[in-house]
Amino acid sequence: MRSHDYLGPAREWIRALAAPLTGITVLAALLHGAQGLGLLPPARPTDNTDETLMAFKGQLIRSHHPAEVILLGDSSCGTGVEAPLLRRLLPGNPRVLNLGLYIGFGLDVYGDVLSTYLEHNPGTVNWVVLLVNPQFLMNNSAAPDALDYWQRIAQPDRYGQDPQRHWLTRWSGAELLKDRLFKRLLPTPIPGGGLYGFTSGLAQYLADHEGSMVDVGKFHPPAHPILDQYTLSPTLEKPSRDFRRRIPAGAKLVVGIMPIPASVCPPGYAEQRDQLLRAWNQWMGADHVLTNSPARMSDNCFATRTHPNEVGQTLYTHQLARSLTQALGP
Amino acid sequence: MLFHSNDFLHFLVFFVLAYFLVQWSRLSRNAVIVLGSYVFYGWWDYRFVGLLFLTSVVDYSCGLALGRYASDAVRKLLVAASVLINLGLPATFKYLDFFRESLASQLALFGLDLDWAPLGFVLPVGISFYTFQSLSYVVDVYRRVVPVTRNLVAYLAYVSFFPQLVAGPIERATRLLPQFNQRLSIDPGKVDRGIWLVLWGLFKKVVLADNFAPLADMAFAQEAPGAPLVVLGTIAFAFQIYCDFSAYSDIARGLANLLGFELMLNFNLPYSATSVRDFWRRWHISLSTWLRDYVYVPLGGNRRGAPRIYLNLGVTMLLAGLWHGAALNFVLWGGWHGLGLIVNRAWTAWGRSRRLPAWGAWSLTTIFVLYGWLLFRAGSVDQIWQLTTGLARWSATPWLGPFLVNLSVLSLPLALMQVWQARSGDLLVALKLPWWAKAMLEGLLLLAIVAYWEPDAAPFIYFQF
Repeated sequence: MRSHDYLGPAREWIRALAAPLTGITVLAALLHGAQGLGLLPPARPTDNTDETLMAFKGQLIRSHHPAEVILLGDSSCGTGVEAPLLRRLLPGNPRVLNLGLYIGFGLDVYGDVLSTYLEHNPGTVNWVVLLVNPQFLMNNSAAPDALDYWQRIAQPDRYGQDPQRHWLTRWSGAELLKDRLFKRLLPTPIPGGGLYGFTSGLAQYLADHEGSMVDVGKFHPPAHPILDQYTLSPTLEKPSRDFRRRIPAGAKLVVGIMPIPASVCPPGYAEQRDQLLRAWNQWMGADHVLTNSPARMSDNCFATRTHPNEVGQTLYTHQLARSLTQALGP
Repeated sequence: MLFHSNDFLHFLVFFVLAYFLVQWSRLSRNAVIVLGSYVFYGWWDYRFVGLLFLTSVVDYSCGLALGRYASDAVRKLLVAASVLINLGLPATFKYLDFFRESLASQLALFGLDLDWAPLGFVLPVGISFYTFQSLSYVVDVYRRVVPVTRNLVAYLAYVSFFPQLVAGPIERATRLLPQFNQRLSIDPGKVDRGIWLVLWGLFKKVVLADNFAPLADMAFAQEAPGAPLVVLGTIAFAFQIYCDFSAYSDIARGLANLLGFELMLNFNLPYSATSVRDFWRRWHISLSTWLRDYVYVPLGGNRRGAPRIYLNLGVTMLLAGLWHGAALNFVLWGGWHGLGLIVNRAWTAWGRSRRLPAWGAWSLTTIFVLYGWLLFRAGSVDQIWQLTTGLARWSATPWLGPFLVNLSVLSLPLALMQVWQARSGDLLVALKLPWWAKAMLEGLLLLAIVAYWEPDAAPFIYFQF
């Protein structure tokens, strides 16, 4: 016995099936046309805190935003130094900009950040302060495509050219709709809310604090903490020398290692830290290494193993200001 | 396999092709449905396919036996066996650990320390749905409402029909089972309806529900939220659970339409309800009617006077809460709605001439339902207390502004559609648009779905029940 029949004129079938396909094709044409005519706003990478931070700093370094002191480095730099506070503490109150990013990016990305900033703000920088977590010196965290990833997020024109994205999202204009329109309408929530609530809140905080952010929370050392043994990787030599060449003439380079929580400090760490700094400086050729800054801080100054919290940030910023003033004079 | 996953898209292509090829035989069609449905179900966890088969075969056999034996005692025994299997299975998976822990903690008060490790059962997806659906067949055969089916393949297809297997609607044998024995027709009108329901359902899940979810999570994650965040967070959850659950039902109905089947309506604009009773005529209709017909009515229903009616309502709604899981907040939610139904009934009986204005009735009902969702979503009794006392605390979170913007923007398409549907009195009013307008609307929905489609799709909320 027959199970089911497909009834109705072919024309009606085509109309039913073609409706959504026709609609999406027309919308795709409109979106791509608008994009081609430059009618759409730039993409706003705000899927998460990482993208928001990168997009903000990418925009910042391409704008006229003169500063005499540039902070570069990984996220321990981004969260560990409060730029406006540092400005107030340094003699002469030079303008300070915190361009700290992530440990996964490496010196070639930090160098790209600096070069791009200098292109748009020539002749302003007096000090470049490079601050990293000791883990950075082991050079085992940088992703191979970090530079490409950074440039894709930081440059709105390139955002959305992720080769991982499905062809359908590109063809249909869905990525245009989402990246250029929806993300402007819908602030992206940060899981748990925290201090910023939404990525728009983070972006506002970064704008208000000259690129510095703060990590909220409390570091809970494990019951049996594993004490990292830090070493200087030989693979860091070339990137270090390349980075040094990007420092503009007349500007001073200062290099430092951010403090770590006391409970995860190996014995003799302070001396080891200084030795690492000096060894690294053989390649960096910095004008000063921050051996006069703390190697460790108490656990209650940290939100995570690598990020100072608000208390730690204030404390370290004061200490950094003293170190810089001592090292470089007024 | 989730409806909004790439795996399901691939599955559907193969299934539709196979379905097309077997149109000359009902037996083959039903066999393809059974095979496809078991593959669909087994994709999640093949170990539980046997449970699905067991439930189906036991109830099919009970049905046959009910048709054979006239003795009331024997017939009742058969129903009892079916009830034992169909309720025993989900109860074991859902409640056994809960009761073991409760028993152990009670015995510990008397100094008896039972070192029972939790059994850690994984709840088979959809077990609360397909067992109820299968059990209803046995009870209906017992009540002689439905004839005995002697077609095992059709019965297996009825229980396992993949569009509604995992999260409903909980169908009845009177409605769905005959369709497996009928010659079905698939015409452009059905296809039109099916496509619309699938698209609107996917939009509600992928674009709306999965974006309401982080808002609700944020609000409920705060330690001591003030009134604004408690209210907005609860609204976010109310929209999340509605979009999530009704999306599944819409997609199920749409897929069924594309195959020539009709599934029952499961949600009918529940947030436009003007009383708690009205809410339960609009929310998860298949479960509320199931509970009415197989719990409330057998308990006595509306007979035996007001006190007994109130008791029946309370028990039925407590069971509705327990159906969701062995957690106190679900029981409190069920109890809350039971109380609401009791008060509603008492008010109706007492205040026939004291009707509230429509806006007043809607407001009260909405506040009641929202507080119920607070109970439902809270992670513990402590959190219920925290959130409830938070309603009296006017402290604003710094990011309340963007929260409100986000909630408003997401709510807008939902509100517009619901108002349109309510004013026209037709949930499928979009199909009455001129072809070009409907094409653009469907195209926009499809575009938004593509934009928000994630390879690691978030499961539907009701998969956990």
